[in-house]
Amino acid sequence: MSMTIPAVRPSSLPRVDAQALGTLYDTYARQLFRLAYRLVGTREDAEDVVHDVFVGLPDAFAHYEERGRLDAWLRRVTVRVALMRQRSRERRREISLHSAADVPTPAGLTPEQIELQAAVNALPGALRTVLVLKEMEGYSHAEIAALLGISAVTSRVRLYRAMRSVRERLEDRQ
Amino acid sequence: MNRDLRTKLQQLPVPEPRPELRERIRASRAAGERITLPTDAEPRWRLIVPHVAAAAIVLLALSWIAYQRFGDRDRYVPSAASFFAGSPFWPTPALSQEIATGDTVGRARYPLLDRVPSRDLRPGSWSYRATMTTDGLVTTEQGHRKFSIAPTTVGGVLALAIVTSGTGRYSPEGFTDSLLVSRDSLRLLRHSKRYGKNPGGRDFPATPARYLSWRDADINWVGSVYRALFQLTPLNSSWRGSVYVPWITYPSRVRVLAIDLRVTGSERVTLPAGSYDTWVVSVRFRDDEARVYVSKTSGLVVKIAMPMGEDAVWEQVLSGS
Repeated sequence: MSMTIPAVRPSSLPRVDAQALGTLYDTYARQLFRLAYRLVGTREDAEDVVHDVFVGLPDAFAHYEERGRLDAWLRRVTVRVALMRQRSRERRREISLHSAADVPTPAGLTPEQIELQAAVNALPGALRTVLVLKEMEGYSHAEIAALLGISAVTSRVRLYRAMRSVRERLEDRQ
Repeated sequence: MNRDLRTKLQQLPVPEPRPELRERIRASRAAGERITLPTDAEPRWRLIVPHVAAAAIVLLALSWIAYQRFGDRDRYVPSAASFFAGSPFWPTPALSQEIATGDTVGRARYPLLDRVPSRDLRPGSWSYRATMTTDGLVTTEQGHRKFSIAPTTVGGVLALAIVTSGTGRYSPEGFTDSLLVSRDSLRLLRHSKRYGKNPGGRDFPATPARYLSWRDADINWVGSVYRALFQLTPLNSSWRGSVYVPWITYPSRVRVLAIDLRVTGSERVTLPAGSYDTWVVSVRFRDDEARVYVSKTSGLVVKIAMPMGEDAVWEQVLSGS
């Protein structure tokens, strides 16, 4: 599932003007949207996350120190924005008319995938975040710990609980 | 099972972002919308400061270990505190103590003691027996001490002679320490010392007048002042105080030593001269700590105990009066 991203460094973009931002969008938007969608669960929220990331990107480059790959940095920023959105939603208790598990899912899913997506959507935010980052996005526990401000052990525990919860939900439906 | 589930999770399809998202972003930028992203960039100083602090702590720890291991603790080592010695901000002049020379060893833990409260000194004469006990088993005699307070006159001034004399293993020829103070105000008049064949002493001028205080306390336990000071100072369970005293080291050099005194409890002790209810006073200086037992009723020092190394205790106990 991994895709090779051409390294576009901001040093080659002395000023992030509209054209440069367009180049960045073409290169990274799809990947970042995918990550955001998995974290926040709906197309609308994922688009909002990507929107915020790209609108804030020109100013955020002031803090980019070129110590790592640009795509990895963008992914970290996207995760943080998605988590902020997730938390603010939880604070506002913004619940749609559907239950969390019945959030509309992309068309073309097999019945098994619909069940699996529903099981993931039903997870509490903290468990879902670790599950997505570790099992679907390939982050290490150390990276997750740094991103979420938790210990690596806590990350492992949350992943275990998330996987168990998903398995139990799938078994209940069968 | 987990691997299978992981594969299924990774294969869950994700929708594509709608084409209008790009235009929405462009419009937001064009409208001047600003969003501050939660980047992970740390200010450079926040990256540097912990490293510098850690390096400083390690360096300090290594220096301290090296000093403890190899350093000559009596060698002259100027301290940062000596920078202020003699200035108005130095503790001793700031609190009316005159000592402000040399280097300082240790820092006072408690409020500084200055002049003693006015309380009468009780004339009398008391004898002490000194011993050294090693491993709690072997006790050797360390000579005797005699402490006396007697009325006298010095140049027509009514005075008190506070005298300690005695012998010991290291002073077979005996020693005498005499302090003369005026009877009414405890103004210092004369201090004489004779250790073996070597006499010494000094006369104190009338002006500026200097009065008996804790800063005259001697730390070698052969002088007279400690016993007199405890007689003059009413103690209670919370009494504590510190004092800076001059400490003459070899080669001739005056350093300033902090002595911390604190009542740590009360105890009834039985000695050759009788049984006494006492305050137990901890007297700390440098790395040493002595315990002084002071009679609650008379203020008389009835016992002094000081550890000598890890396995020996040197004691003076009241043996008669």
